[in-house]
Amino acid sequence: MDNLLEIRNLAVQFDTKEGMVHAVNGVDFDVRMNRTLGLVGESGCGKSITARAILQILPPRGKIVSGEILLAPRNGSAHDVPRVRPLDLAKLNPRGKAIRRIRGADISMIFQEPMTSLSPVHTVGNQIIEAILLHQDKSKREARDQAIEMLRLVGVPMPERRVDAYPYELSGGLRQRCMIAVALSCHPRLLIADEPSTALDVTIQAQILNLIERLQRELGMSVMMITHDLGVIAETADEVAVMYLGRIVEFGTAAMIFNEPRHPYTRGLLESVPRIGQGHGERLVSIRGSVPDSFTRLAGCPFHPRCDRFMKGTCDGAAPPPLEEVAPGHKVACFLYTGGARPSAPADGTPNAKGGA
Amino acid sequence: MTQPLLEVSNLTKHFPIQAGFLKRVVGHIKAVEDVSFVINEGETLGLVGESGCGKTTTGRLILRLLDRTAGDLFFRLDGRRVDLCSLKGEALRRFRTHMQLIFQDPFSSLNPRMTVRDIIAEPLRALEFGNRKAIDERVAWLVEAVGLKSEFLQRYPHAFSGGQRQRIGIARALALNPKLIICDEPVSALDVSVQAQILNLLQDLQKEFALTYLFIAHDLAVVEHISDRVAVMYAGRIVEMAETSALFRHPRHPYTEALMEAVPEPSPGAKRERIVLPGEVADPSNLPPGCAFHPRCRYCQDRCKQDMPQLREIDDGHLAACHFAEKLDLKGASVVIEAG
Repeated sequence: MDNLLEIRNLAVQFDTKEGMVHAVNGVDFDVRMNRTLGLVGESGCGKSITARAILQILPPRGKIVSGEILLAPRNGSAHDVPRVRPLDLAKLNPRGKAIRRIRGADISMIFQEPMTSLSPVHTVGNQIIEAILLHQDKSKREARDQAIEMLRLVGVPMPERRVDAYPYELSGGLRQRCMIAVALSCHPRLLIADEPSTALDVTIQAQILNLIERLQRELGMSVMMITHDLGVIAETADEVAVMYLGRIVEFGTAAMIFNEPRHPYTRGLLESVPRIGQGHGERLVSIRGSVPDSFTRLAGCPFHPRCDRFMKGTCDGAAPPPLEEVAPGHKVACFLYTGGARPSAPADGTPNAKGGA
Repeated sequence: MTQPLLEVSNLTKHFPIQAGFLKRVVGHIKAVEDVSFVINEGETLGLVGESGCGKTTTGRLILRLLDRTAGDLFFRLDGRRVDLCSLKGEALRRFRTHMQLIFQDPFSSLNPRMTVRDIIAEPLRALEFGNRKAIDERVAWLVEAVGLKSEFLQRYPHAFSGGQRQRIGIARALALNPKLIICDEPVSALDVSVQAQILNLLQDLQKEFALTYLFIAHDLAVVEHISDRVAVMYAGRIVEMAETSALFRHPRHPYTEALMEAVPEPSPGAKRERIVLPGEVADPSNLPPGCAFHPRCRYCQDRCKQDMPQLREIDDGHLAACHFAEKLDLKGASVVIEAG
């Protein structure tokens, strides 16, 4: 198959004292081989939880309640290799051996704040070596050499010296590079990057995004880029999934999402971001209200209280709108497009298309 | 002709680095170095730069929350030119009614044990605004002015979302009718859809109450949107300052150009030819000789490694600190064409 990872109807819930939190409500998407999928949304939309569910590293009390996470079998490029069935990660025991073999070796993850996700009491070299020894049959010496090679690959200057540095001795940008080195040390097929550049300065962010892109090309892997920054998504992703309150509301190629957004939420997001070159501006178009807290369960479309295209009786009905294809490869979960009558208003298609495709 | 509200001249702040048992001073972090600018009444001056460039320290020095190492601050109030640095004790405390601060993080800047009413009323009580009734009325009015409902007054900050908390912080800053508000990254902790609401609110309040803003941020697009003029800081110094459109269309300093290039554009068609700036932000305790930006600059020449460029006027009102500001043809932000 062309897809490395297929997620079907994934739902994650948190059973807390205050009540059940429905963090992810039936999410479907595919991550294609050697491509980048962007997962974009505001805080609390479930994008990080979705990523953590893939690796079965959900926070305490979080549980996958339904759905499948199908990982394609590892096979060489040769077609004669007998196909093994895809592995459903959702069924694995989070503490079991099977998932541990996947983590780091097949799927790796990098996080927003490298200071909190690298161990402060181990050198960066030892953290890379640990991953290598865990997954590969190598001696310590070989692993150390490979660690130095990894640091060189991610652009850490003087890797022979930095291999023995502790994270606190490094700047934010270097730490993020070291974390990428740890994540890529066993050549995973999928790298999940959860806000990898949010904590960094723009000039360092550009370095890190370029690095991820270069490594993806050189090592051949899929990337899942999770961020709230639409600019980062536009520059890195091939396909984009827009999430809101635990659901995917729109899915398509980057060009579709940015040039022909269909869902009122996607449109609102794109309109509310000021852009460089727009000049000293008048008022911004904003989405009213804010993301409701995670305990709220809204009837019908979860976006309806904030939507400027709200249709009474339809959007606040019993069921949320299904994610349906409106154009080849472009899916939207909105009653404006699905469920029969299509209103004429969005027919212009591109109310806020900016720039050329 | 608009009057200058605040004049900052040659403002400098060095933090000592102490080491050892005797706390000997072994060096200085040059956080702010020879910074001069003027903010006119009613305008918004944007201050941008990467972390550690001294933009927040500049804001705190103006408010006298930190004491300067050198330099002068003058504030124009009712036709008088007040020397801010000479104010002390009670006089300084009273003067702070005219200058307020909005913080970045709406989660840590509001006391979780105080109700919204108490949070907003605190500056009013501290400076004896009036009797209880007057304060209550003022609080109720402020809450409405920032777009919250007065029913919320009895609640505690935890009950509010990030955007609503930032509105509470803004109401508190407005309580004493200040002239100047220093906004230190007021929207960078907020979700994108809420960010636009707060930016709109700040602009509306500015019109309504004739406020003057010093808008500190690292997000260039936000700064461009809200500012009349922009100053770019690097390693403690202002490297470029100009009217917003001039700065973004025709940057005169290579750092400004690189900063604009680095920002990811939310349009996938504009496939990047990103100039990636090598290296990291200069360490303010150990600045490179000459121009602090030279190790990362792609136009660097021998002269840049020795001579420190002074901030000088290149065009009318357009200042840059680069030896080659006139010669370089730097790329500005591409103008976004509005469709539809």
